[in-house]
Amino acid sequence: MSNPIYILDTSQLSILCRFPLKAAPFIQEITPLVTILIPESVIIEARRATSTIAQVASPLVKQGIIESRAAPTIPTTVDEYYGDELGEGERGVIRLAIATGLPCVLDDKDAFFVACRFGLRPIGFQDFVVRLVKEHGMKRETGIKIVTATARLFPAMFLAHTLHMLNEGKV
Amino acid sequence: MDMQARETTREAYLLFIELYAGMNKITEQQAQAEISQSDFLTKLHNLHERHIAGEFTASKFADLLGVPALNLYDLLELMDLPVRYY
Repeated sequence: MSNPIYILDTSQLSILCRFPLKAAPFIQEITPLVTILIPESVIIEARRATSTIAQVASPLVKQGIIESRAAPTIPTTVDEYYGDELGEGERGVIRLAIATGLPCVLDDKDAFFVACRFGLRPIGFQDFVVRLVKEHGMKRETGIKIVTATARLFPAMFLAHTLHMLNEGKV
Repeated sequence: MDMQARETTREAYLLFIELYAGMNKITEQQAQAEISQSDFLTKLHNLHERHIAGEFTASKFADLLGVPALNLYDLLELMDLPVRYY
């Protein structure tokens, strides 16, 4: 049976590739559990780049471990009304999610709200981690490590609730 | 600007040129002719300031700069510029 698929925006993928700062990136804990799907246009292989995306994400995309797919061009209203504020990457995530019915992970509040207006139910990064623990077999301790290490990137008020959800059911 | 900062800036510009050329399907020479290093720096800092202020998302920032959205993070990492995640 193939892994469940999640459509990720570039910001979440960059976080998973860059953190933790001094150990193996968190993406390595995640790709065995779920398949990450990104719109095709968001990355190219850059020979000059020596930092994180080039070293971590590019090889995973090249090997097909992170799946890259062309986002459909419809509905055109996504671009028509939100093209000034949202980038092609976020609009691609939204159009892919509409076309496939797959869950999408978005944190930018404007992109999140727009996705909801199109009938999607996006989740944020920390809720993605909670789902990885509760539904996809990630160890609770790993989930706690991920959200704690990356907490400063998100509103401070989220962390306590996230940790509560991760610890729910713990004996 | 000290020597290391100059080298990093030059490295960032050359990376930008590679990404910009790839994204727009032109040669790197053509990209350099279109955008000088100083124009690149001015544009990068201007867009970054507006992104941090909440005017647009990181993905839109990448579109306006003319590079793929995920590759932008490498450029910003090189220039030691933060990203707004929400």
